[in-house]
This record gives sequence, structure tokens and C-alpha cells, in this order.
Amino acid sequence: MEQITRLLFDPDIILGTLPALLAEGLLNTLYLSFSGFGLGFLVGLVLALMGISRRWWVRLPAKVWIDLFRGLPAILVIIYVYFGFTLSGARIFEQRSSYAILALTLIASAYIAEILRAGIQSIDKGQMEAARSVGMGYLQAMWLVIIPQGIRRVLPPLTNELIALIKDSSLVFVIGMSVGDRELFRIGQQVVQEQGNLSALTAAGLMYVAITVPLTRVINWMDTRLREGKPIAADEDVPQAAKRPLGGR
Amino acid sequence: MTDPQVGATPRVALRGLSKTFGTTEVLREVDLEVAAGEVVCVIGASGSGKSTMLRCINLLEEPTSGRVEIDGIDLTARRTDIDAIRTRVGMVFQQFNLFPHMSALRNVAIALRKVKGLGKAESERIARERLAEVGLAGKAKHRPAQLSGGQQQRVAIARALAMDPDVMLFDEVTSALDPELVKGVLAVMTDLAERGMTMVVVTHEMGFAREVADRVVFVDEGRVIEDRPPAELFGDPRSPRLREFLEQVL
Ligand SMILES: Nc1ncnc2c1ncn2[C@@H]1O[C@H](COP(=O)(O)OP(=O)(O)O)[C@@H](O)[C@H]1O
Ligand SMILES: [Mg+2]
Repeated sequence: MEQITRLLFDPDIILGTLPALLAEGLLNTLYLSFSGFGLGFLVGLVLALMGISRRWWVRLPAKVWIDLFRGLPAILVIIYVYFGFTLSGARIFEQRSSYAILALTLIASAYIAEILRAGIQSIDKGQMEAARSVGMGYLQAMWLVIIPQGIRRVLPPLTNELIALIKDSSLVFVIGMSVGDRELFRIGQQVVQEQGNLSALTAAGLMYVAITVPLTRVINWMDTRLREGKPIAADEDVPQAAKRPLGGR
Repeated sequence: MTDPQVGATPRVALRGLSKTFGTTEVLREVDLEVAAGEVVCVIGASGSGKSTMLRCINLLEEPTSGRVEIDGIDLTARRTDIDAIRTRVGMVFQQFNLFPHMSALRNVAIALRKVKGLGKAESERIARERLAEVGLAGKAKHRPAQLSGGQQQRVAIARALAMDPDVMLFDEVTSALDPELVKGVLAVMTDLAERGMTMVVVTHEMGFAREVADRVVFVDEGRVIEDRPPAELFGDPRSPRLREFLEQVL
């Protein structure tokens, strides 16, 4: 019992790793996952709009993209993006972290696209008709009327996706970031290899929990507001896709 | 309510308009002309095609065949800029369809700003005027959810009016309202008619049709069966279907 405690919770190692985790790992984890999420959101929005097009040749590429990046394990996408580009000589970025962000963007875009599509499709048809009837074009009506309402409806699953991406960002350790660019997991993992003790990963794990638990609270709060019909979405039910349980992947 | 300009190009013309959904024929060769300043009420049983006819006038539904003309411009022609035409045709819906994430003021102002390209101050000035006209000067800051059904519908009318349209289309705009709220909305519409607005009004309010309309059009199974001034149509219904219909609703 004591051995296990030492192996997982050695206070000296935890305290010793903490400065690097806080100063380097936390910042990089947040940088990678928020960048991936932000860019993934933009790409996802375009994919969502393509996905509801009336033209099959607009829908098809979006569908392939979404199926691909939702279907592949995240670590495979990261490996393909980083080693695919660098080993083939197409060094499109200088920094390794940029490849990591690209990979996370691809992954996030696929999930976010599906969430946004569900949100957009949940908005009453009359909204588009009213917007068109005052002279707005299709994309203008989408941008001004449909998308703002659709996003509000799917804030919980979007936050859920952000949590999933923060956790997936640990997988970029395979790229082998150097000191200064390491995220939480890689820092913990390197200490583990040096010391033959898991406590550093425990410390890293606690950091992930410290980020994701507040976000989970935010989701629960939004869910309650949605269910009680408070300002977020006054009129209609949350779409099915928005009800995906926490940790949906 | 003003005298229709006889011989002039009609403001709205439906010519041989047909619409099918799948295999359902909803409109069959509908012909209808509405002169500038005229108020035409459309009555008929539920499912007879009234909404579809109205929605064809601003091309929310695409006709299967036939033409829709606004001031002689064929809307179904490929090169017609439908977004531009729609700013000249205001529409008010049964379910209001206000934008719930915007204040009443922004609901009315947004198209002025984003479609007509007016400045913020100018568009809000016009929006406030329109809200005042429908008796809602004090509700500019309210969200739709904070307004009664009748107030929401009047905001929707103000939103359509803001674009300064040549025609207004109303699709059973009082049907979703509690009875005590109907009056206020009808009063706004009557006022609008008296100021010379060209209006096509699908309605179950026979009193309104009788008093405000220049012509009443009875639609049955996608066809225009009777098209006459209200006193004649209600006083001397010719077709058995219209007689049947009037017996049920009056
Ligand atoms: N988008 C649609 N798809 C299929 N059928 C439709 C659609 N819209 C209307 N219809 C059908 O067309 C008929 C006429 O509908 P509508 O114009 O709404 O009638 P009304 O307004 O007179 O009640 C109905 O039978 C309705 O079911
Ligand atoms: Mg109808």
C-alpha cells in the first residue's frame, strides 16, 4: 500500500514537477487546445454550412472530411500531420507546435461541424423565411439570424468538445516537443521516464482536472438554463446532438 | 382602400400559377391581379392553398409553373434579383417569426442596416418611427419573449414596414393570438389599408374582410373560385363550395 502511494503520490516529485507544469505545461496545453478549438470552430462552421447545402457535390467533401477526422484515432491524425509533412520534406511550419495545432484543428473541426449543423438545423424554418423576406441573402440570413441562435443552443456540447480537445492535446507528445514547448502530459511523462515513478503524471493529471472540471460546471449551468428556458434559448428544446452525455468520445 | 388605378400595370399579378409538392397539386392555374393601393383578402378552408399562394408572391415557394409579377417584373425569370424584390414585398407570418436574440428595435432595424446599408443612427430612427406607428414606442428594448403575442405580431408588422415595401402580405397573422389581442393587430392593419398600402391578406377574420377589403378571393382546392367585392361575395355567394364554407365560419 505504501509502495503504491509512493509510486503515484510522492509529494517531493509532485512538488518538484509543479513549477514546470504551471509555467510551461499549462500554458502550452491551453495554447494548443484553444488554438485548435478556435480554428476548428471556423473550419467546422464552414463544414456545417456545406453539410446542409442542397447540392450533393458541396455536401460530399464535408461529409468525407467529417467522417475521416471523427473516424481516425486522434493520435493517428497527429502522427500523419507531423511526420507526413516533415518526413516528406514539406516543412510547412517552423515550429512543431504549429503541426500540433493543425492536427487538433482537423480533429476539432469534424466534431464541431456536426454540433453546429445540429444547432443550425434545430432553428425554426420560419426564422430563415423571415430573414429572407426582408431581403437578406442566404448567407447573410445564416450569419445574422440562424447561426447566433444555433450556437446558443449547442453551447453545452461545444464546451464538451473543448474538454475533449484539451484531453486529446496530450497526444501531441508523439511529436516530441522540446523544452519550452512541452504541454502537461509530455512534462509529466519525461519525469516519469527519468525517475521510474508515476507521481509526475499524477501532478499533470491534476492539472487537466483543474482545467476541465470548471468547464464541466459551466456546461451544467448552461444545461440548467436551457432546460428552465432562461435567456440562452427561450423557446425550443435543445436538439438531440446537444444532449450527448459528457465525455462523448 | 384607395381607388385602384384601372388599366395600370398591376402591383401583383399571378398568371397561371401552379404549385405541386411531390404529387400533391396545391395550386392549379391561379390567376390574380392586385392593383396598387388595393386590399385583397383571401379566404378558404384550411389546406386549400392560401399560404402557398401568398408565399409564391415573394418566392418563399418556387412556383412549378406560371408567373409571378411585381409591377410587371417577372420574379421567376432567372436574372431577377429576388433579394432586391423581397425588400419591396413585406411579409407577416402567423407565428410572428421575430428574431428572438434581438431587441424589438433591432428586429426592425437590422434589415435597414444590413440590407439597405443605412447607418446605425438612421436605421434606428426609422425603426423607432415604425414601432411608434404600431403603438410600441415604449417596447424598443424588449426581447420578443418579453412581449405578448399581439405585441410581437405588431413588431413583425413594423419590421416588414421598415423596408418601405410596395406590397404587404399577411398570412393568418391573428390566428395564433389570444382573442383579446386580435383587435390591436387588426387595427394596425386597418390603419395601414387606409393609408393606401397594397395588401394581400389571408385571413379567417370575416369582419375584417367585409369592412377593409376591396376584393375578397375565395380559394378552394388550389383554385380561385370567386373573386368579388366583399359585399357581393358575402351577400350573394354563387358557388356551393363558398356557401358551404361561409356557413361553417360565420
Ligand atoms: N412544403 C410542403 N410540402 C408538402 N406539402 C405542402 C407543403 N406546404 C404545403 N403543403 C400542402 O399544401 C396544401 C396547402 O397548404 P397551405 O397552402 O398551407 O394551405 P392553407 O394555407 O390554405 O391552409 C396542404 O395540403 C399542405 O399539406
Ligand atoms: Mg395557411
